[in-house]
Amino acid sequence: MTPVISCEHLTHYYGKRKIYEDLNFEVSPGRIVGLLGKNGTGKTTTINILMGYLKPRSGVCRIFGEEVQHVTPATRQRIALLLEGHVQYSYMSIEQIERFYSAFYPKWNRDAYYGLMEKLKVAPGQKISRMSNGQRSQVALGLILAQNADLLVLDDFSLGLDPGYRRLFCEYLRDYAKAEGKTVFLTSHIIQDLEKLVDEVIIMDYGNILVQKEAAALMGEYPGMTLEDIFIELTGKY
Amino acid sequence: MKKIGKIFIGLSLALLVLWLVPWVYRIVTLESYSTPFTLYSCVVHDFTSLDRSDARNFRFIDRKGNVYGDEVQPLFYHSILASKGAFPDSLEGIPVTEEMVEHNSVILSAEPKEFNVKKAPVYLLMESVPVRLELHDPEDAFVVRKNGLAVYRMADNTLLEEKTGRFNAALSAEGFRFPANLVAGKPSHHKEYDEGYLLTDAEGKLFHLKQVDGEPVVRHFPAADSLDLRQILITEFTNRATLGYLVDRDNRLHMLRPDGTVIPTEVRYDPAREDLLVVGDLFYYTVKTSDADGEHFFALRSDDFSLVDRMDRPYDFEEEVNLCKYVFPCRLSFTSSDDGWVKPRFSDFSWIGLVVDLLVAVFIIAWRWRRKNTNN
Amino acid sequence: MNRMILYKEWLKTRWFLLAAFLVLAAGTFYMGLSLSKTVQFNGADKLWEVLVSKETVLLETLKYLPLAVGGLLAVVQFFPETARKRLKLTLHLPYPQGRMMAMMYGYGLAALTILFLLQATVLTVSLRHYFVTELVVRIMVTAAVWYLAGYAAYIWVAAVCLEPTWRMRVVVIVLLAALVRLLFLSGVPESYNGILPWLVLYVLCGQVLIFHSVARFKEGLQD
Repeated sequence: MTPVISCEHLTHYYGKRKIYEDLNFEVSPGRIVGLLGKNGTGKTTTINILMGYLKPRSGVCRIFGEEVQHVTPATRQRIALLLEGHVQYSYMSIEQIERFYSAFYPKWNRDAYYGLMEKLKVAPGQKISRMSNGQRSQVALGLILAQNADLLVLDDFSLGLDPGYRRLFCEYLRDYAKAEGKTVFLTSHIIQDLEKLVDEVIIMDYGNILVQKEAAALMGEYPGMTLEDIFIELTGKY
Repeated sequence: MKKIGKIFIGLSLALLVLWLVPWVYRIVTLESYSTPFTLYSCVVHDFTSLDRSDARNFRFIDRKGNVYGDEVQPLFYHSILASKGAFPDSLEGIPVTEEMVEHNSVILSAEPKEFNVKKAPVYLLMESVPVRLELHDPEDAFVVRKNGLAVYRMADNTLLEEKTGRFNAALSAEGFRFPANLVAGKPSHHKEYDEGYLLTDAEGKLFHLKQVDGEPVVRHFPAADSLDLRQILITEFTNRATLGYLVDRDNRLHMLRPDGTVIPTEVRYDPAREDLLVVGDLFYYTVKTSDADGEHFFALRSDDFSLVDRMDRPYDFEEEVNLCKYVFPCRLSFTSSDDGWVKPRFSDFSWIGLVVDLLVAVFIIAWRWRRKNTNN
Repeated sequence: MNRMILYKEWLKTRWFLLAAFLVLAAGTFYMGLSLSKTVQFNGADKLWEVLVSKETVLLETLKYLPLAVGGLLAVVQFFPETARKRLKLTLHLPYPQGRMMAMMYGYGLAALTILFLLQATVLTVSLRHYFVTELVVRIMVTAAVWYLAGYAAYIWVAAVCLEPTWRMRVVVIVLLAALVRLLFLSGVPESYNGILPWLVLYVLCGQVLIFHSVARFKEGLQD
């Protein structure tokens, strides 16, 4: 089966500081894969490389078989992206942003978006900039669900969210991904959220990948430990 | 596109450096330089220059090094001499009075920037013979168009069709072929009288146009037909010795008398490049032309404008060491004191600067290539 | 999709465009009022005399307005794109990225054109009331450089906003400062007649700076 995401011999430096060298990983279709690592290990760097916002020092990444620096608009239509901090066009309102995005995605699912928006209890004309972090995350979630993309890429989706919103986000995401057979590639700094969400984990350390395994298999190797405990065990205490 | 952007930025920065760095250098190192005021003297029959080394005393020095006081220029300093009771009764064998001196004093100056600009083809039309003798502000203006002049009343921007017809008919009657080419005049009431305009037609013929009692008065000057004029300066001096100065394509200066005679002179003057200063008196005209290299003086007789003497004075300042020549292949500027155009001007070409810049470019390219290979 | 791209730009800029329109209108109205008062007290012939004999085109009060409008429009339009790296959202949209950027700044150029054309038209009509065609042409040809400065400020400031590193922003700002200096170097009427087409070409070529900034953003360059 052709992987949805593949990275080969990925090497990147910021100046003289090595982020990683000769990194290799794949994400198969229909999987929810979590990329874990301490601060500065290259999680957002990896997302940026995959989305074409960072040119690696060397190595090749592909999404749906296309090199990430030259992904076609038709392929981008199949990828839903959530930026760190749920960054959106905050000068738009809920209605305006739905109207804007729906024009770009032929498979746009309006009900998925407004289903979530009903829970927000905000005025339709309210600007996103005037919403709380949690409300903004729901708007962002609604937008990526409505796109009906084949691949969802989420960079630190839990940043700034309280436990209630984080749980809502994870539940919605998992249900949606499994029901629709979507592939999800995400990062988060709150490991405990990922335990019930991801199928597979990739744990990064400074410079390389420590583990890439089925989440269930990994937890099986460390009985009685949570994923967070395992992460700390593998990466070492601060 | 990134590469094109880099090239665009690189070229722009290069032009910027060529423009601004030499400009700053010149501002910082600029020293003032002036030349002494020089006139032809009817007393000693030589050019005498004002020596300013002694601030308390007025000293003139001729070409032989003889030193004089202001009595060597009695006509230029007649008021001062008269106040000291030192003004002579006669000069050049002719009795002279202050009234004669004042009546025959002329001064005219022109600089290239007056001609090297885009002028609007709109000319104010003064009444040359006002009812109360005093010139007043013009009420009408004429516009030079392809098929003729158009006269407008300025107060309400109205085309005066009937007046336009009269002016065009008067010009056509004298043989004027539209459109007008050169137009020279000084429409200001800060003068003693108004002579309207001197203008050339499409065939280069010279005409005189003025408004008298609201009617056009036009004269053709056949004597100037063969001159192929490139510039005209209207004079309007008190003594009415000339109507204007004409410059032909060979840069020869001609004097146009009010009766239409054209007197060629030995003066060569390029209005596009040289400053002109004419200081005339009862006996002689001192004509000075100056450009970037120096000054050229011509002494002409006032009665027939024949050449009496001439003198050239190159600038004698030492050219300062121009460090920019060792760094830049040339200098870029956009303006000039000689014209009103903004356009790129490359000057001060330097082979040393070019070689230095090429070597620096090669060094930078090699260093970046080496750094790129080291990183890989 | 094209409509929505323009809709997004409209949402960002509508209030600014209204404010810019009002400022330009106020400036134009003030100019008109000044002219009419001068005509009332001194006569139009005095103004003709000034136009013919002095190095002025009477509109000097308005000369920096287009520059300010252009620069500020670029900030209003492009700063929201780059704050918190929001440009990533725009570049991720399933639409050719080059065309996306071209549409975005094309919108800005079109908005400026409409504003400048409106002002120029009102000025031309007002001036034509007092002055002959040749003088009005002289004034408006002289003013053309001021409008060009507005376009230059828009393009260059857009490139500054989109540029990810401060070092290159400073370089582009220096180039803009030099270009603006050049565009306002001479106050002699019609002094730019010969060089104007080349300046227009250079300013339009400056659009490569926008793509240059975006390309550098996509490479992940940062301070």
